[in-house]
Amino acid sequence: MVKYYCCAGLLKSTWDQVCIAFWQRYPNPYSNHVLTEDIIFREVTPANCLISRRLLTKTSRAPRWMERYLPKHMASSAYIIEDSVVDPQKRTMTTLTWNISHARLMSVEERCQYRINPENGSWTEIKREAWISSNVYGLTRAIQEFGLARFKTSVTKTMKGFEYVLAKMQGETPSRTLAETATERARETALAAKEKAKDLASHAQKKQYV
Amino acid sequence: MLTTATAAENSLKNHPNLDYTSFVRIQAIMNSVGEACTDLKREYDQCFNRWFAEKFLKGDRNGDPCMETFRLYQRCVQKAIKEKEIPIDGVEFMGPNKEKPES
Repeated sequence: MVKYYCCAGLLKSTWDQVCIAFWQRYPNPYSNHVLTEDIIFREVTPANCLISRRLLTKTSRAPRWMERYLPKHMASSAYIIEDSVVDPQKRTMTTLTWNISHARLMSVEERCQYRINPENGSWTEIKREAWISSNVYGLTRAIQEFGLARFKTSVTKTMKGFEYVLAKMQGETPSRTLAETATERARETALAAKEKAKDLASHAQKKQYV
Repeated sequence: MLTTATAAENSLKNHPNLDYTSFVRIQAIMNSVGEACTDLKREYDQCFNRWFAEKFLKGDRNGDPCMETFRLYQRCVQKAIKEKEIPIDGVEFMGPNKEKPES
């Protein structure tokens, strides 16, 4: 069973600018989880499309409740492949991103289509789709839900990072105020606390049945 | 991460006939998965970003100025991928996206 998710995004920059930023979007203040980035294949096709494969290493931390089901010394980072096709004639860019590490545990595939916003030619719209699956017997649903929640958080970060890089490219000083940084940190702390509470709760529950 | 402001880039930035400035450089770059490849990667990325903005998106198909830097970078990074046993062999382009159910 695969969980499907779809959402739309808008960047208030031209399609050209977005494509240029796409190749330069790491690092940004929202991409601390991206450790390495490489182009490992690139070609211009006879139809004049640019096809590329990017290899990324990202940190991948499982929530506490999941940890006990995982191998003891599982790598804390994951390899991600991001394939893309840029078509300068049609002014479209399509990307497909998926994890090649820990894929049996959880696989997240994302497809993004970037095109000129039909209402405003100097904006770019993104259609984002994701397919999340897991093959862990008995935990499929829980892991998929976790995967989807984390995916949604990462979409927000991706968009913020993109906006930051675009603003910087256009010579503006990106506004990431101290307040914003503090809010985000607070949110992360709250999330961690929530995970911990859940963990404790499930332990407590188990004890009752012993 | 390294800082990439070079003299060459600065002179490029000030060149009146180039619109490289409109796309501009980001200060820091990402590390390569191969620790030894980051400098080669930076050199290639700079070449590519400029070619992409100034030539490719504008429909100019005259040659590939980045071929040599790409070749050197690839020699390094592909070696690192083998050494780290990163399983990318035979992974099809746009690979797993076979017709997927929607919801």
